Amino acid sequence: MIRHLWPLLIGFSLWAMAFTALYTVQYLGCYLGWSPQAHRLALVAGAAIAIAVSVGVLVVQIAYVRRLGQATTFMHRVGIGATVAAIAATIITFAPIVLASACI
Amino acid sequence: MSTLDPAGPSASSIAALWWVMFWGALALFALVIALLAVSLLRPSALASIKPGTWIVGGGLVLPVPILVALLVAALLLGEQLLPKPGGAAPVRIDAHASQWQWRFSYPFIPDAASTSILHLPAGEPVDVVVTAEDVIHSFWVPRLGGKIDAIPGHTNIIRLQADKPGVYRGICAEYCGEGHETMGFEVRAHAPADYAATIGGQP
Amino acid sequence: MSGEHLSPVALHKALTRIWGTPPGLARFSAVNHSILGKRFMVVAMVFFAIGGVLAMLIRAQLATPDSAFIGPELYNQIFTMHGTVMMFLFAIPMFEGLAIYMLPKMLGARDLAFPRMTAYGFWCYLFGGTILIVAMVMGYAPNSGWFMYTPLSSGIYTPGINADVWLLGITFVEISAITAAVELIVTILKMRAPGMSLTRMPIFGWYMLVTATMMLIGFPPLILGSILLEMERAFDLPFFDPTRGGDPLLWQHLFWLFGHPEVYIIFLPAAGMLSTIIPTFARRPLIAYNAIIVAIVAMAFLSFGLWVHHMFTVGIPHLALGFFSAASALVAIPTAVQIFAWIGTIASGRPRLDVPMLYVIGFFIVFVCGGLTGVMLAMVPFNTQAHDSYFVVAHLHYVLVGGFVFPMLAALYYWLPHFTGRSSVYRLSVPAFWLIIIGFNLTFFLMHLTGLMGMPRRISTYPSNWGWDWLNLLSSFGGFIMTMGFALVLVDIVMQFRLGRRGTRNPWDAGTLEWAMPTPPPDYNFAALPAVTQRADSLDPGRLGNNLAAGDGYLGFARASRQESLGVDMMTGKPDQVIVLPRRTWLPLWTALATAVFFLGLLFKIYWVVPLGALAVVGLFLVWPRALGQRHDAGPIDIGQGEAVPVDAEVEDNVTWWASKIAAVADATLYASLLFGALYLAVVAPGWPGQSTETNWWPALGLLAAFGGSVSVRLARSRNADGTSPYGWLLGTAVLAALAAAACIVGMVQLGDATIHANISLRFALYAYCAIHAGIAMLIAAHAAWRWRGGYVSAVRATSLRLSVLWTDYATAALIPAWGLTLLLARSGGAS
Repeated sequence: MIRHLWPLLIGFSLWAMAFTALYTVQYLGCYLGWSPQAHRLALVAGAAIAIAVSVGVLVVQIAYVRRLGQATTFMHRVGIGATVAAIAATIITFAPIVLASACI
Repeated sequence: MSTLDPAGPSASSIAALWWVMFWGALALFALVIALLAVSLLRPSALASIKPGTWIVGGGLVLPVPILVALLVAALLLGEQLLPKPGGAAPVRIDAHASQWQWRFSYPFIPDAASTSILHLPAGEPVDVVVTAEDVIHSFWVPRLGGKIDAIPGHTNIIRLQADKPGVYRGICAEYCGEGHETMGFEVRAHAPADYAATIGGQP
Repeated sequence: MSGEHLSPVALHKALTRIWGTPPGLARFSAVNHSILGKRFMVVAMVFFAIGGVLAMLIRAQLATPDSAFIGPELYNQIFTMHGTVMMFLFAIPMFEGLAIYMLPKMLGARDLAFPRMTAYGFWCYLFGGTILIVAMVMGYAPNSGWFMYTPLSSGIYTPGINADVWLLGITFVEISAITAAVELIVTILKMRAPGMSLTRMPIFGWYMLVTATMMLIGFPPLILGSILLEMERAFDLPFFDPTRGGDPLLWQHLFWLFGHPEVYIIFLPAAGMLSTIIPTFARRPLIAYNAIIVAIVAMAFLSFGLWVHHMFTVGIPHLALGFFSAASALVAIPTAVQIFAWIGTIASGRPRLDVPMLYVIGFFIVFVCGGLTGVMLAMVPFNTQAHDSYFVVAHLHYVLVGGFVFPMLAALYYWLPHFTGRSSVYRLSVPAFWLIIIGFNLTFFLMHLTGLMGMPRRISTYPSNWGWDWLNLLSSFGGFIMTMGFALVLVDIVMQFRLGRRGTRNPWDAGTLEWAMPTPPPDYNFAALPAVTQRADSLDPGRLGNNLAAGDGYLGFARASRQESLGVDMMTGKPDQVIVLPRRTWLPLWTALATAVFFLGLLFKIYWVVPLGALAVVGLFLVWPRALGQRHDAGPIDIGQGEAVPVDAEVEDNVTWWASKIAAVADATLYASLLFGALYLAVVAPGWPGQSTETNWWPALGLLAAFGGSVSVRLARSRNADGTSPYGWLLGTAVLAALAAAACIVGMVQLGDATIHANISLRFALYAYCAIHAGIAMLIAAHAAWRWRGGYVSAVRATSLRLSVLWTDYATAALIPAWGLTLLLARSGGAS
């Protein structure tokens, strides 16, 4: 039954997963002593994937609502808002990757 | 003792950040409360504003640019304050905390004894290497810069600079048991010419 | 039965006979949500008073420099207890109590989904809180700060019983938070009035749904941290000791992983109350319902991504701080959305002022200020200066008092007529408000400056030459003004109970269902359940209430002495089952007392008592289902309005099943926190990999046995579905689960001395977790077999079997990462 709530939850769930993954990559990179360039590349790639996936989800959600037309439910419309907010949160949360020091 | 009376570049830039945020916050606070007051006292004045405008205007257009600008500024400032390697390697002083005292030692000077007063060379950056013996403490000299925790099993570094020779106060900022408030220490910044003699000359 | 039409009075009498709790000793057996909700709130207010007195002692001590009023030893106990009492014993139980009282009424149900669990949670809260207060009175209060940072709270640096009081007392209290979270979620999703789709749910329902979900995920890390720290203190298993492969920072991560969401867990219910109260006084519906739902969902997620802003000075790399800093700043946006939705609601309505609105205005002033300093503290460089200074003390009181106490006071005045059935006498309300708001700002506004002037937190005295004297004196002065205000509020409440005029229904002209009943409310809430055809924030409770009292609605009759309410489809609100609720019973009290035996045994280190307490708890819980269930398939039964639905025992989608799945989520979060802890220590902690040990094969055997159990329980279920006996396979499942538990226990023994290094103690903890869960799987399988023998299970009534599948699978799933980590840790151990 919980699947009915997914439109509302998916965007920020992706954000949470990306957050966990990138925090881990940040930590492991320092722990394993990756070269700063490789480390940053991995982080930027991770953030880019996170953004791309959530934009993809948004596109699917919008297409779904378009296809349904009049039949869209409240949950789908609210879900689009939540996903847009999550994408914005993803971009802002991971923006420090481009300039902050990864290991000090 | 006050962070608003900075005596080094790190504390100065943080104080500047504070004042910017203070005036900005004051303006935002006034705006929100004014809107609330008008909406309660003269609702007709704002009745034509549509729900979407309230949400988009107040919830997004107003805060997002402010927050993004603030985050960028704080991040750039934070980068500046970091004890980055490279450049002229600053002096490294060890600060070791235990219940309830600080010991400072100066490994860059052979035979320098450890002291309970932190001696700094004035006018140059210093890396303070902070460690703990027993429980968590925190190293804080408010007029020079932010704090850094002393955690058993970890080594933390903070870069500070006292612009002028003088006496400053430091305190333990992390609750560490019964003697927490007694764990203050004195910081003396010396003119570079006198510095080595001071350290070497300690008993 | 349902055919005969009773007069409203006769119906009231018939329903009261079924739902009522007689006076006298029988009140201790109450399970009714109105009674328990009020109890939660009254006890929380008592704790608030205790916390307030402690705050006054703090302010008395700090009023002057070099004060010798109370020494550091006592001061440390007092500030620890002030924070602990206010956070754990006041704020959370307070909103839980209000939600327990209010939610079924707002949603149009007759009680919560698990009335006995409500009662059990209440007793756990009361007993756990009492342990803390008694310890304080005896002079053994916790003294390591409400955040309990280790190593200070470890056995070496806090050798007495003080820290154990905190760890065990608070964990005891947290049981009530978890039970409340589970049953609030289930109630909100399943027990609304017919026709109340999620879209039509009153906004408070959404707030509480999000809050309860956050509690479900936020509390387990703290509970795990407390268990690990208590294991370290009691049995010397190193988890946080840096000399033996532990790390004090692991505690901080676990604590704040709970501690920050906690702030939003406290704020969101209060915001939900504001979203209910403001439209009533603006005399128009709340604007931007959808945007608010997005905002609170965003807030819930973001709040789990900013715990490290309590740890900006522990030496974490700047990039990681950047993530948390950005997330901390971002959370201001959903907050702003709500603030402007409320202002917009007022602006586009026809606002009128009354005492609740006064506190709403107080909320805006105080909370907006706290929010703005919150954004400041999210900035890493500024945080390094302000952290652990009085600036943070000021900020957190602005946020918590502004974001919780002011809305709670508004809610108190708003719903007081509902509790008392009387209208307010306002002679004292307004002066009380002014005392509180002036006193509050005087106390805490100045603390921003005190902090910036370098005064750190948690010092019991300060010398007089640093310019802090007059600030502290004024803060103390303000504190006493505020206290007078709260005392006046108390007097005001008592006066309303005694002097208020018997009021009319719905005094504020609100649009929510809790006003569609007589006040004070009858034990059964609604004589008939309403059919909801529009957003349940803008109904007409007056008209509706009269119809419902006459039995005009769903279930408008008394049937077979059963406590009945309706279950609906989660999304659409279409009725899909009759939920038969358990009647009042002493079991919750006995079970809570047995739980107290368990905790007190641990506290006083009388370890032979501990397993006895645990056995008693398990035994009593196994008796709980006896009062419920049925031995035949009844098929759909009449619910009024010409509709018929089956009883909850005969549907798959029933509240028991929901609750189990939701409880499994909380449990899995706890386990995930343990796995996180293990990986964290392996990667971060100093002194790894430490002692090498041989690979331990016992958990792998346990995994095989548990997997066998998962297969066997499926066979049992499919036999039951065919109408044949699942008995043998269920017993087989129980045996296999028992074998799995035994294998885990042997594995624990095989580890040898677990006190040597975290590498071993972590495996010990993992196997213990798996052993416990295999044990649970065994009990549930055996219980299902017993229920089948009793005739309570059929192909249709198969909930027992489905629970058995769920928990057997859970035990199997738990063993997989445990075994994976065993290989990983053993390898890292072997490398040394």
